[in-house]
Amino acid sequence: MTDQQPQKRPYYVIVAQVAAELNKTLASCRQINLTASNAQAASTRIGNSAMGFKVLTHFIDELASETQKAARDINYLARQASTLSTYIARSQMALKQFAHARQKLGTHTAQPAMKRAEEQTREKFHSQRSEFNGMIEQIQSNLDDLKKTLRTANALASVCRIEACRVDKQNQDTFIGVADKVDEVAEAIRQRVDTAVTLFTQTEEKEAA
Amino acid sequence: MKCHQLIETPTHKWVFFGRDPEKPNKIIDTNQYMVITSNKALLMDPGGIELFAPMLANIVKMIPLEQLTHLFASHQDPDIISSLGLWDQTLPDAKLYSAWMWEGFIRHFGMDNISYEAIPDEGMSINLEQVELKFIPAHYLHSSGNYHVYDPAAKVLMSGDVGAALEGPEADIFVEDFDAHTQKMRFFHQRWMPSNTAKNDWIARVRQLDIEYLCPQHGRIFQGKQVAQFLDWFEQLDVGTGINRSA
Repeated sequence: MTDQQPQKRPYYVIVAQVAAELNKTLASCRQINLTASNAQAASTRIGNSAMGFKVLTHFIDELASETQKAARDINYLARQASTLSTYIARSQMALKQFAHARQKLGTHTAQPAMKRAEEQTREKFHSQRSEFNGMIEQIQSNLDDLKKTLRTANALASVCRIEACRVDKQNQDTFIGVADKVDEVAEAIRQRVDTAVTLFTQTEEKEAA
Repeated sequence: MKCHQLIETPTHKWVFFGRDPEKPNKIIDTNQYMVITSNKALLMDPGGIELFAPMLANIVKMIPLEQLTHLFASHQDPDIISSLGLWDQTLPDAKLYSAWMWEGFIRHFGMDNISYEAIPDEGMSINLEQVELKFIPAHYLHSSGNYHVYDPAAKVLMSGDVGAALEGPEADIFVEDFDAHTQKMRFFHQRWMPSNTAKNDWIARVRQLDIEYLCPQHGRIFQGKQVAQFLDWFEQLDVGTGINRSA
């Protein structure tokens, strides 16, 4: 996907690609959920020395749910924006045809009905664009929030490593493994979010829409 | 929109798209199919303009758009290919395969970039990398210039409007009870298909093919023994009944 040239694509394609990128993060979130469940089971098995870690697993679980919800919300918005963008493209096509018809009319005056239809299409086009730009701003803001949430993942992973020191050597590897997994999955999600952000920023949205 | 992998072979896979719950109520539900090889893909009957956005969203989840190199339109109807104007902006280097006789008509949907590859009356084959796909004639079923896509390796026949049923977007993808399903197919075939001669000619040719999946553009997919059952049912059905009905 990074090899593509999004700036040359219609905007409805870019938004659909963003939705697809975020869709892939949902699978990663499920991996974090699973990791948290496994860690919780391990904490219960180990007993008192792993109590601190057990508390952390709740936070990991919560983080995965929050990330999953954010990705779902952005994905939904992106799909809506992609659909709206195709309507904009259709309105734009209609406006082009009206302009062409006016040109053909030359010195003849356009009929009131035609003027009205063109005006209505133009109004619709502007309102669609304004709604679309609002959606894009919302998506960008949600993507920024998601990136902030992902920073928590690294902090949680660090605390996991500290808590791992409290248990015996035999169980340390399990907990360090959990920390590594959280870091790894958060990084994978961050990369997808970065790709999504790049897809947006490399595109002149107002031009393309 | 549902997206279901129908079959995977060592060289390629077939994917079904359809049953979009967000589709406007008054437009007919359609099935879209895509063959994907390592670096290429063929999208069959891409659908109407209203379906463009959900189709695009599902395709980019599966493949990079550059990989979608081929389009196929079984005939010229709007539910088949009225999205062309938007695909034309999206896939400027793609090829569209359709009947030679519909080129001048299909271009009305808007086509400045995609190249039109005319299929002759007798049909033709293309290779999508190492996968051979045959565009087999199905003229007058229902359009006067009509083709289906046969994949001998995967044993799949994309049968356009043949095998279609009129059902809502909540319907299952596959035929379960064949006898019950015929009730949903009867009127469509009798009214939309104009010629018993064309129908019987098609059945005779299709019986020679090895088919595991028969995939219509509306309704449900037939599997295994249901394919022969469908051909038998279709053979005994009298079609082109519109004149009798209105008389």
